[in-house]
Amino acid sequence: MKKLLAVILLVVPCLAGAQPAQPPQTDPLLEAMKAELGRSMETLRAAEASPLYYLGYEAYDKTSYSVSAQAGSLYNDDYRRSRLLDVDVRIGSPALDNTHEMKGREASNSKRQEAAALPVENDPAALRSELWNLTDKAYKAALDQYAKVKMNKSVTAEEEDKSDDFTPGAPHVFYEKAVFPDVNKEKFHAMARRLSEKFKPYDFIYDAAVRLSVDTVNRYIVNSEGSSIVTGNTYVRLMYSLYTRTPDGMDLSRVKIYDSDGLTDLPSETEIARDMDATIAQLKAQRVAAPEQPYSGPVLVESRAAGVFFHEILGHRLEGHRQKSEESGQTFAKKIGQPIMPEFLSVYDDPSQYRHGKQFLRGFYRYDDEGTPAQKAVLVENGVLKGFLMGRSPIKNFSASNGHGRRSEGRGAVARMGNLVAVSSKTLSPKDLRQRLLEEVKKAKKAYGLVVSDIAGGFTITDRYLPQSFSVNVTMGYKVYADGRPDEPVRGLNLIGTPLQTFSRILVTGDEAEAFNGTCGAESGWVPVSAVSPSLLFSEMETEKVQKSNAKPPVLKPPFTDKEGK
Amino acid sequence: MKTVLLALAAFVCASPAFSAQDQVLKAMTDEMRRTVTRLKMDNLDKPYFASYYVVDSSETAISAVFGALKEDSFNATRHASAELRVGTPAFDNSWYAGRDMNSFEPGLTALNEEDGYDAVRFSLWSLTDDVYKKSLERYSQKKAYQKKKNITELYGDLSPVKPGTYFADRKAVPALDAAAWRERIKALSAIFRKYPAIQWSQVRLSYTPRVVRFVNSEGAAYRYWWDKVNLDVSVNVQDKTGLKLSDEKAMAWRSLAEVPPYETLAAEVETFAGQMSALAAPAEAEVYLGPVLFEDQAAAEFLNQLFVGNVSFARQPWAEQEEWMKYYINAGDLTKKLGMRVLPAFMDVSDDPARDSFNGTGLIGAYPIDNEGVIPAPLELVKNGKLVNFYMSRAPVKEFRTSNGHARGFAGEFPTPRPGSVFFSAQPEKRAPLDELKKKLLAVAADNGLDYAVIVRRLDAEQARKADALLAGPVLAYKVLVKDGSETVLGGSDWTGVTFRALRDIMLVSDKDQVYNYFQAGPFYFNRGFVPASIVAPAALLVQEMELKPTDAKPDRQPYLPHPYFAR
Repeated sequence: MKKLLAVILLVVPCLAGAQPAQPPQTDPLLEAMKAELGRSMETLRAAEASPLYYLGYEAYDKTSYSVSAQAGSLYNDDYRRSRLLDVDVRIGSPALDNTHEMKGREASNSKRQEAAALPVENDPAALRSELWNLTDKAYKAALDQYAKVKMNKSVTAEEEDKSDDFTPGAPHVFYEKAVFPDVNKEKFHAMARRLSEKFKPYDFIYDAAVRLSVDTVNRYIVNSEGSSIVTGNTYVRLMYSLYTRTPDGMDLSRVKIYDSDGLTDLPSETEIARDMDATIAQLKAQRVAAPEQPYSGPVLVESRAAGVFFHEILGHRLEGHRQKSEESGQTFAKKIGQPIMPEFLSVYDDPSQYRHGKQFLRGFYRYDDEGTPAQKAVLVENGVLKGFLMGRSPIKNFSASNGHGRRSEGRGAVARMGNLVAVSSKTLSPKDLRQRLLEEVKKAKKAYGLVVSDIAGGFTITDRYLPQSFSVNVTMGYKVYADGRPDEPVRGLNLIGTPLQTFSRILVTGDEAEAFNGTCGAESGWVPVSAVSPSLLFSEMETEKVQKSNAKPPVLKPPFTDKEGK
Repeated sequence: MKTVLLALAAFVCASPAFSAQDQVLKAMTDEMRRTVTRLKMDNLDKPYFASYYVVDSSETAISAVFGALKEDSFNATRHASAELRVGTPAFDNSWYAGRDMNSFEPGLTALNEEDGYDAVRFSLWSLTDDVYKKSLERYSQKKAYQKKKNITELYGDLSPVKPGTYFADRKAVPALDAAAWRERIKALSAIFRKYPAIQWSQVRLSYTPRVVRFVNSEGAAYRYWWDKVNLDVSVNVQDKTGLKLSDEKAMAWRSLAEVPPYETLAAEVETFAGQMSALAAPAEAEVYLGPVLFEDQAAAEFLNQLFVGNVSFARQPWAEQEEWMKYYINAGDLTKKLGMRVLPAFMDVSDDPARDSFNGTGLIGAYPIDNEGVIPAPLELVKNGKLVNFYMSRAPVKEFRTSNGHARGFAGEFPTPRPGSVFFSAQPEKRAPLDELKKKLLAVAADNGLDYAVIVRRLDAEQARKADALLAGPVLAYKVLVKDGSETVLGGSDWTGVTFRALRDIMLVSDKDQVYNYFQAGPFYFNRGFVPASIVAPAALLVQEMELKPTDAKPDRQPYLPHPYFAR
């Protein structure tokens, strides 16, 4: 369990139809939440010797539709509505409360908490009845935890960072709901069927799917500081995936995702079909490539992959709460004001940024899950570390939240990324960048350099009891030869390294930045994020072989490509 | 070689003529043919047997709490499980769990919801390949295990059977009037606005029309449909000592048409709400040793948990960690008592899956053909109190080598021998009206020098049983005073020392029969599939002696605030 928490995953990574502000008093869910919060706070504040000093509700009102197809017919077609409630209870005082990190033998700091389904119908009595039930449960659990925290603090060594557990917040009132878009189901059914047919002629494709999902999430946040916020996002994703296995037992897959905040922004079917053809060709070439051997030398990480790289290697290590956690590696905790990467690079995270160029950014939001307005957090300026991603858990020298307290349902919020953006003042055009890579290859006396076009996310370890390393899986890349041979695709490698050393080896960047949209998983659950970066040229980077399934490819060919079996 | 040729011949003949219209069945049939004729890896064994089982489910779920809609969803799924056997029917890869009990399950995959020949075949092909490779590995591991343990007493792994075929279809699936049901479910859940002692409640309707398809390499094939209609009422209460109690009243029918009118459902919910409310202020539980009268759901669950569940699941897999088996798999312990007295001499038991109603009430346990393609016949289980048979699949055991058509299970679990519709009968002189049963109960208690006797009307579900316990604890137990027959609900209690003796201790039964439709939990604790089953049995059972004690469960604090609705 502990290990799971230690590993931060990023799987391949929206605002449309936002309704103008409505009079909040007409929203029965919001009213029920306020009423029950008020009643609970009044009674529970001093119900026990340990005071309740903060109570917050967050309800997720979700509408989701998804359709997927395989081999020309619909695999799944699903529409659902749901409402889930999270209750944040804080007992004690901002200086020390029930959320305080446990240390030593008792250290199990799961962020999991009770969440309950609420009626989807706006009936005040039923809504309040469920709110009451969960509040009581959460309050009792918090009392119990607070007693444990106090004892744990008494019997364990003093912490290095003695910051409070919670920082006060200002009351915010905001009301803007997202509206679930009209989905022409027939149109998307037909499109999904047609697109999924495209994989059928290829006998090396062992699994493939096309999927469209549309999710509208309206978050209702009320708390005992007087905040009343309703804010919504719509996320539209169209994706296709294909998978094969090599004769030496390596599983290879490719995924392409189109993200948007509305159905009208999706690419045309023709464009998607064209992309599919290219992906199929790439996978075919990759399948017959020789498995990669461990390599150390110059590496060019292309733009979208570089975004993921920053997310994994830098972003997670700049999440505020990790700087004071006694469990955390704290790579950057004491490096404020010091250079941590070349001076031509700056990095910030700005969840209030809605688009990068034309590309919708999934990491966009107006308020975080702790009721703080989203704002730009400057992390690195000209190579020098300036700050951290902050939720409402203060750390030494950084007491205020910058609107990055995030979570998914059933978890306590911690500092997380939204839209992580890296900018560079030392750039080269794509052509010159490739030329520079070749120069570096020659300088290092290597036969070839590596270009990484796509990475499937990866993981980075930030917990102290394990090495502070990262490993990201390269799903597409190629070798660029110094002697001018044609490029060759690679398969079966992970980029590995340690953060500080790796950043110091960035030589120059590309002059264009693309956005990577994804969903990031960590201790506070899964949150939509984006990462934007130019391509990065590293003087040296190391790779390792991937773990293989070692299963043989299927004995028979897929049925529709097996002429003998017809 | 000869076996294979015969199997193939049978297979080709059995391909149903109308499968051309059923794209799913056609895909299953065609991929099966390719599997048995061409699937062979290098110099390794080819499968001697293969089967595909495909279940379509389309569930509409409507739930409400306290008068408001909570869930209103539709979810369609199609799942396939594949079984491949290498070796011979005498000894193959089956019934071997190896080191990892949790992996003892057939290959399972989700298939396209939409009927698509290519898509279904593609998924089956992928699943088959995976299962074939696993089967080869299991086979060699099982052979090594047999050698290591020097197991010489073998009864075979797949019994021969005449391949059954059965094809049923219907023109249209009865549509659920969702709008009307939403109102009904909301109204039923609003009944709890009258019961302040109940902390939380929910009413949930689930309507799931299903289509089941099967083909195997011996020529068995079927397609039939059945409807799962459930209404579950869940309730949480906390008694005055702080003990939290929860229960779920589950009602199930064979079809939407059989669901009783709203007024009947509302009356059932009212009764349940009233009973559960009484639990908030119960009489203090204490140690009790004496006669117990089981009524209603408790009488049926008593027979289910002690008898039916223990004449199921005869065959147990081999496992590296045999001592852990009991934590993973339910063993049918009564199957070891064949020919012995298991019930009082005045009782008989039989099972007849072909019976789909009893006195006008539908039996959800009915099925036309079992999961292995065997058509069941009526089965006598107990004669004059003696166990004469138990449920059998095609997995032979020492006592029986052939199937009696009771292999059942959901996609994702191996079919195991399980009930269909079970009928308990008793000689007329041992049947009596309920008031006489109660008199007899009090008389036996008085004979034992007791001031009170116990009536149990609801038992906890089988899956809530404690490890090693034969019977789940009572939810609704009543203290009945010997002097005047008055009843008070008892606080949290549990059984101690229940053995199979309790079945033989049945003294007298009700003169009325009840139909109990329920879902029997599968034997694999790591993957419990539920199958619909029915018990037709006397509606009350008087048991000579049972022992109760206060529950070990610890109470919780009462809520800090009153319920917002009742606090008004």
